[in-house]
This record gives sequence, structure tokens and C-alpha cells, in this order.
Amino acid sequence: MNDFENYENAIEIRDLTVKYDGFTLDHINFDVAKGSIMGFIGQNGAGKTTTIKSLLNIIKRDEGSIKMLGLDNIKDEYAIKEQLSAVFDELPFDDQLNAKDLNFILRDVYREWDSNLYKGYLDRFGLPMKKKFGDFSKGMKMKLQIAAALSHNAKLLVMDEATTGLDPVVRNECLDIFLEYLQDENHSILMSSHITSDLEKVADSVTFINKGKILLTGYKDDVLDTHGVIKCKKADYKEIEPADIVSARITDYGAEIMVSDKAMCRNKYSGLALDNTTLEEIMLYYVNAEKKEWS
Amino acid sequence: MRGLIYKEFKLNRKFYSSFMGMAIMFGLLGFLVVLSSICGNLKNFAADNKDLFGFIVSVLTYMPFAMAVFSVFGVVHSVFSDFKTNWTYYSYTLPTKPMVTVGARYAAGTITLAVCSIGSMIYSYILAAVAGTELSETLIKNLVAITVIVFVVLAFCLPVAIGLKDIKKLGLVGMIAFILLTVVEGIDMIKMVDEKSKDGTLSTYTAEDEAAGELMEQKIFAVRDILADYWFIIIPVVLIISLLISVKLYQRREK
Repeated sequence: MNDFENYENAIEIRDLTVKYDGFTLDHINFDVAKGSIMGFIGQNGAGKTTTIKSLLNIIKRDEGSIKMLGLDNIKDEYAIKEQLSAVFDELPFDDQLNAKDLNFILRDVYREWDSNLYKGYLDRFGLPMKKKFGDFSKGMKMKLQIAAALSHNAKLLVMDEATTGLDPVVRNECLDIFLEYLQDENHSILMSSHITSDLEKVADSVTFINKGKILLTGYKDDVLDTHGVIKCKKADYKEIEPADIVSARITDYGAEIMVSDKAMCRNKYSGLALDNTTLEEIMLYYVNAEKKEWS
Repeated sequence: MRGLIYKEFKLNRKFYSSFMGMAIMFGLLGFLVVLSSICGNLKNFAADNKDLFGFIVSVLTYMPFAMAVFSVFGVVHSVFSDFKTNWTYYSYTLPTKPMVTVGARYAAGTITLAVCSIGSMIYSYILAAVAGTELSETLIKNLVAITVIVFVVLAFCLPVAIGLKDIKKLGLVGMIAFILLTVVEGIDMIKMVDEKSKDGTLSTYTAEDEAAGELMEQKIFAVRDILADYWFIIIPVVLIISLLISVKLYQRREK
């Protein structure tokens, strides 16, 4: 029996490949360090959900290996799932059920299910016990999923677009809950989203995916520190070496060029304005990296 | 498994209550008809039309059972609603073995069928007692045989539902089966009419027809007797085969 304390990475993905007609998740590699939140970023159809479904063994993979909490995600599937919670963008419970029913169902499923903890979260989130889920708002449904996810001492939360469609107030509440969850060093979160502002607030590390390929992975602060956007005239753009450019957005007024080594470019192109960037911009420029120039 | 069985009953509450409601309604109607034949307005009718009245009472005896057993198919319906709500994907993230997840549906279906069957037997016994007769062995055999048939149909539908994952596809399978049956029976019927019209016996019920009818009846009764006498073997065997197929299909991961 694995000791759930003795592992370095909550998730280790090696050469994960899933092939569909017209789309391939192509040799995905990244880790989620124990005690951290990984923001998994990509536009719609990039492969985030496919990666998460492979992780959770919802779909078959063609190649690769996945370790979660130090264990193989297929051989030790049930041991992992006792310590794992999944949160999806839509509530996976029938509208006819209520929170009381869910307690009855899940306490039979998870060995460490804590009904008092669950009821505590429901009280905290202001969720009624006997109201049908069909009468819940979207925000209430997400909080319910989170309450269920946090009520069996899970070591790992895997969230697929969990905050999509929520208003800013509810999103903020959810993010606070995730940060609270992470106060225990043994807890980790993998959170996929295209709402990069949420991930900028909470993520420790980020992984960008596009068209089934990993574009970039690393600590969020390092990624933000090393990337920048040069804003200049079109004439000046021609002076910048292609090897330094991730991609460039060319408009009638000038050029905005994403660089991946801000410190070096600051010295090399000292006459040009080099601004800090955001995760959203990084995603945009990397998605257009194949084109090199775009508008 | 208790929680998952509870989920099945909770999700199908409306399904159960509609059919159970109709079963209770027909049950009460049966009582009223029998009571009325003993000391009410139907007394003379029952005395003058024994055969017809006997037929009406037997239909009323079976109707509550028929309504009740339809509710068993709630567990098939819930397979599709689980796919619709993504509960099936969510269940793949739970630490429950496929045998437990799938077995909960079978348990719910079997419990419902057992309750319906036993309830119908009790109802028939009480109805017979009120009518001043004994519960016929034929009736008991018929109820047991129908229970086995319903169980076999359920055991067929569950793996198909779990494998198809889509109620429209199941409806399509049902329609294709119905069309095929209709076509086969239709061809038989056309052949028979063609032969009879050639030899001029189309408008008459011949001795041959009577013999064919009796043979068919004997076959049906023979099957009924086998089902009624060996239900304790047929049901477990069918259950195990169906459950194993369903578990295999549930475990089949999409790509």
C-alpha cells in the first residue's frame, strides 16, 4: 500500500498520446508538483479536456504513462480515486437529486467521506440540503461540486473548466476555497481553464496546450518574468531577429512582438519599449506562433 | 452499493409512481368489480355471463401486475439519463468497482420486480378470497412465468442500453426488431392467405386451423411451465450473464 506522503509530484504525465480522427494529443509531458496548483491553459479544442479525461481514465490512451500521487493511474486506479476528486464544468448529478441524497450516495462510495464536513461546506456556501439540483443556479451547482469534492479528504483535485460561466463574485469565492485547500502541503490541484485571469491569481505553475501539443510549461512567475511584449514601429520590427520572436502581431500602427527571453531582449533591443505581459497574451501569441506574423 | 441503489430509486421515483399508481387503480377496480358481482349491480351480469365475467376478472387480476412490472424499466431509463447528465463520466472517477456500479442497477431492477411479483400474488390471493374462490395454480404459474419473461427482457435491455449509451439508438434497435418481426409475421400471413384463397378456405375456420391453434396453445403452455418450474435457475443464470456483459460494456472506455 502506497504511503500517500512519499511522492514528489502529484501528477506525472509522460508521452501521453490520444489519437482521434482530425486531432491528436501528441506526446504530452508535464508534472504537477505536490502542494501546488497547476493552471492548464488552452483555447477551446486545444486538448485540455482530453488530457484530463485520460488522467481520470475516462478515455483510453494510445501511448504514454500517467502517475498520480506516486501511483500508476491504471494499475492503482481505485487507490488513487479514494484520494482524488474531479470537478467538471457541468454538474454531473440528476436534477431530481438534492444535497441530502448526494450525501447518502457518496458516503457509501468514499471510505473517508465525512458527512459533517460536507454539511459544514453546505452551510458555509449557503446551499440548502433539500432543494433539488434542478433549482440551483450555476454558481450553486459549482459550489456543490466543490463541497462534494472536499468532503472526503482528497489529496488531489482535478478541475476541468470549473469556473467557466460563473460570475466574478462566485469565481472569486471558489478561488479562495482552492487557496484554502492548498494550505495543506499534501494537497494539489490541476485546474484547466481558458480564463487566464483566474490562473494568474492562484496558479503556482502553468502549462499551455494548443492543438494537442504542449507549447510551454513552467512556474507561473518565471513564465511571466521571462516573457514580454516589444511594441515598436514596423520598421523597427525588421531589426528584431526571428529567433528571438515567439510571434508578432502586425497592425497598421506598428508591431507587438512576444519574446521569450525578456532580460536578454531588454539589453539587445534597448531602444525599444519592452512591456510585461499576461498569461492571456502569452496564450494568444503562442497559439499564433506557427504563423509568426498575425493580426 | 446501498447509495447507488438509492440513487436508482430516487431518480426513477416519478416513473415508479406513475406505473404503481395505475397498478393500484386497476387493483382497486378489480376489488370493486368482484365485490359488485357478489352483492352489487354486477351480480346478475356475473351469473348470466360466467365466461365473459371470468375473462374480465382475469384481465383485472393481471393488469395491476402488468402496470407494476413496467416500472422495472425505470432502471433502463436511468442509464440514459445518467449519460445525459454525465453521471457516467463522473462514476468513472469514483473509487467503486464496475461490478458495484452496474450491479446497483440490477439490484434496483430485481428488487422492484420481486416487490411487484410478490405484491401481485398477494393481491390475487386476496381477490380470490373476496370472490370466495381459491387462487388457481394456473394464475400463479402465469404470474411466475411473466415475471421470468420480464426479467429476461430487462436483462437484455440493460446491457444494450449501457452499450449504446443513447436512448435514440435503443429506440432504433427496438424499431428495427419490431419491423423485422412484423415483416417475418407479415410474410407468413401473406403465404397463409395465398394458400387458403387458392383452396377456397379463406373465409372458414377449418379443423386444420383449430388443430394448429391447439398446437400453438400447447407450446405456449409448455414454455410457461418451464419458466414457472425453473425460475430459480433461469433468473440467476440470465442475471449473471447479463451482468457480466453489462460490466464489460461499462468498462469499455471511449476514445
